[in-house]
Amino acid sequence: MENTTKRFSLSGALFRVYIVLVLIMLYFPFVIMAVLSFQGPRGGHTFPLREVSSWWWWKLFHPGQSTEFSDVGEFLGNYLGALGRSLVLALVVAILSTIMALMAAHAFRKPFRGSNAVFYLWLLGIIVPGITVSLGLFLVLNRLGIIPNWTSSALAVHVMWTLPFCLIIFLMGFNRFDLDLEDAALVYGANPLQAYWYVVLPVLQPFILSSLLFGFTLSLDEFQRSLLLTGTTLETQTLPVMIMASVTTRITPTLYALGTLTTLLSFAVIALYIFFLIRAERKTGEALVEIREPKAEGEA
Amino acid sequence: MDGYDVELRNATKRFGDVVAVDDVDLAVKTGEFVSIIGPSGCGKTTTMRMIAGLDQPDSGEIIIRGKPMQGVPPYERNVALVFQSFALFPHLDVLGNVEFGLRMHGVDKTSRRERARRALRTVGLEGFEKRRVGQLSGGQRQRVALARALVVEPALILLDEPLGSLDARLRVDMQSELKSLQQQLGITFIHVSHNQGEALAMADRIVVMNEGRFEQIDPPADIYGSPRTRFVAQFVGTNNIFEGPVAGADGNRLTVSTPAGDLVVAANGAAAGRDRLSFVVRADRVRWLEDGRSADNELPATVLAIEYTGSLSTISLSLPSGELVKMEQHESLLRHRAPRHGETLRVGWDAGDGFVLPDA
Repeated sequence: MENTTKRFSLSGALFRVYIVLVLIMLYFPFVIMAVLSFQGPRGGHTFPLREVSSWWWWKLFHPGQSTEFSDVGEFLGNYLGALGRSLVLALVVAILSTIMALMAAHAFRKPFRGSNAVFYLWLLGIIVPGITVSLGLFLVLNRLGIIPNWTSSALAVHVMWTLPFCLIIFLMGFNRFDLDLEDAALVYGANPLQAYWYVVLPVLQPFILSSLLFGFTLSLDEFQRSLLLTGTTLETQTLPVMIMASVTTRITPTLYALGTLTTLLSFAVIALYIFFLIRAERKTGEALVEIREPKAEGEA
Repeated sequence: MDGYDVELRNATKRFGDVVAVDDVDLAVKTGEFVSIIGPSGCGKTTTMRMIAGLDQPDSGEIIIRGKPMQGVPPYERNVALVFQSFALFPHLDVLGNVEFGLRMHGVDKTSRRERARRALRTVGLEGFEKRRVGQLSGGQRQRVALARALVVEPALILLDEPLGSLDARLRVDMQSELKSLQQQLGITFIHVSHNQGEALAMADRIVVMNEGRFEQIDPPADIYGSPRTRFVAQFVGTNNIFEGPVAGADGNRLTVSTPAGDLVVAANGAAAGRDRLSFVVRADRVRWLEDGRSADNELPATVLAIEYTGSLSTISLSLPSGELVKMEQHESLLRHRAPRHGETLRVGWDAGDGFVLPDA
């Protein structure tokens, strides 16, 4: 057996090369961006690197003062403010769509009249092109005399966008859920509320985490649906919209500093997710699968 | 009534047009071990769920320790249930699972730990407190499920196919263990199974259920030896059933014209005044008549199949009339001369081996 596992396999080697190539494709742009963010004050947004400095990082973190040192045509939006709005929006969207999707998934546990049709209607949020949703709602709001804002209209379209993803995650979760667990909780003295709190939610924890992550990341980098619906001033725009505005004027290495910062933030979010997931799966993961087909080992 | 832990009175449950449980009555004495057996879909699981309060009867009453359970939710019934899937909480460790019931009932931490440990000791899982459910074998999960039931000191424990997901060897071990545990603790058990062997081995009384009705409620020996209905005779044990008009009577012996020929059977109370009846001959009463031995009923029969099941062999035979007869023989009897496929044997049984069924 050891011989076969150690034998050189061409397909295995090719597969490894392929994986490495994909990883390079994914991370090389990030590395370039990170390097260029340390461009000297008189350097441009492309190579060569003239001196190494933290000048552009300083500009990123001092949006108020950077006007005094700005170059001609340089974009002077407050990136950090936009980043803050994007993070808050993503967090609220993640929480809202997770709660709503969880409740919807409960409704779908027992098929009802027209449940299939309702399910596909829910998926519409994924299927419809984002820009048409954005435009459509913009026209409606315009007609009603409501001014778009990141806290209202953008929030609504973001939840619409993330909800189907979260719903599918919870449908998967309930698919693996042993119905007897709820009955067991009731029989052993838990009222329906306690059964939900002490049994259903903890068992669904990995799916809740996944739903939160999906809601968060999908909202954080959403551009099309935000474009017309985060408002018209730089004070209400989310980060993707502001970045789009800046690249249409003049690109400076401040943008690279920002890109590096947000990528690191994303890494942190994923690390947090994996940490909680491992903690939850350590308790439930294997048991969820095995409990349905118990392996009866004679040694008991 | 005193001395009864559970009573069902005319309990009926419908799902749409289907009557799952049809007007059943049962009284289970304190400390009794009752098995409800029947084919799948016969209503035994619904009966159990109604006792637990997970389903409500449409009509009739369920009384637990003298109190009517109408409108009482499962979490206020003091009934424990061991699920077929065990339904252990995967996010809790063994101790967390066992003390769950006490925690929900507001028992303080120290005393619930103490009681949970004692329950684990009772089922032989001392030292497993911190194990996660996923790390346990099937038999160990079974014990955790049992400890979780015992610890709440319930009025009764319901067991839904408790051995169904264990392998054959472990099942036999757990059978005797469950029985001795039940006797030792004196807790009322209601056990639901489709496996007659389990019920015969463990129960004080067996309820045979079919199409929502209780066909017979009796101790195992009576269920096995004196089935009251054709269904019970077919479901429990390996039985041959013959039916036909009564052709003659000779004292205590009746001659019945069956498709297999005229057969004599001992009359019993159920046979009185009937001109048509069916009777049962257990497969282990059918004998192979070698070397000129004789019986009241003798028939030539051709061997169709021989099924070895350890110490017993079940031989399927075809009579000249085309009827099938099953014969059970001890392996020791077959050792010196085993029947072969297609061989024609002389088989038979005495009038007293037949048992006239009370229901037509």
